[in-house]
Amino acid sequence: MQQKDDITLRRAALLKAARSAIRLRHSLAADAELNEVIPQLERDFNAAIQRGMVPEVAVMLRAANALHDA
Amino acid sequence: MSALTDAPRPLAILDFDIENRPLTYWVPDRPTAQITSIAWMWVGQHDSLDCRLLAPPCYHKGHEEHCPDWPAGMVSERQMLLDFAEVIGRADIVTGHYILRHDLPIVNGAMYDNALPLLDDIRASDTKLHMFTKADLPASQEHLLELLGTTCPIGTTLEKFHMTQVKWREANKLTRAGVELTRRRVMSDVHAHSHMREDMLARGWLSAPTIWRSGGDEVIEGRLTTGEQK
Repeated sequence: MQQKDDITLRRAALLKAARSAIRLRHSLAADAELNEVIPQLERDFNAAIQRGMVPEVAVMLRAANALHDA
Repeated sequence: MSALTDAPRPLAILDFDIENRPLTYWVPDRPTAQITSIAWMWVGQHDSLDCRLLAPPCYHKGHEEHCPDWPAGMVSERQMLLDFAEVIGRADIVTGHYILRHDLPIVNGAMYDNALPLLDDIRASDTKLHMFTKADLPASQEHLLELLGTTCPIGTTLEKFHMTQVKWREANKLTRAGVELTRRRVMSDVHAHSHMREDMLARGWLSAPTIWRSGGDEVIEGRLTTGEQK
């Protein structure tokens, strides 16, 4: 295996750090959205069951805007 | 079939209640139970309110399981359990007050006592045990009905038919008057409970139904909680 020079290492480090930073930012944003959406979905699902109806999952996901970027 | 795209499905929710009497001394202060009545109603269907009442023994030969003199709804213990097993077998969810620790285990025990098939596991909504966290306040059905001011939307009178010790003793002797007391008690309980549950749901007081396990959760629990000797 060839040894990498400092330019190659630094370029790889830059791209790796950028990828990680962007993934982290989206992951944190996802956590915030999940924290808002998931409990509400669970409450709505349980309420529907208590009222005597098994709801359609896809309809609930659309109503919660959970599919907008999928 | 896909959990993501399956169409909405209506659920059959069965509201039910039992009354039982002590039968024998088992361990100190722990009598065995015998069911004296079971009432049920499909949620949202007033006309489905029905009950079975334990008949007193008939000593005429051949009348052990059925006596033509028994009024409608009065049946043998075995028939009462068979009728209820058929109904609960059609339910997706059962609901009642304290059913997880009282009614369902007692019915299952009665099935065992009568050498009948045990109940299946079933999802249950218990208006006592699924209520929000609280302390130092009562949560009996009688208390909740008064607190909520529950009414029946079609105008049928709601009551928690109060039974004194004198009435309970009369009821548990299975006299003609006593059985009528039991009928009134158990049927009014189910009717009132179904509307009380609606009020509790509207206020967000109940957590999600959970699955009651006919086979029990902890193998050792049954013996520990009864105090039975090894």
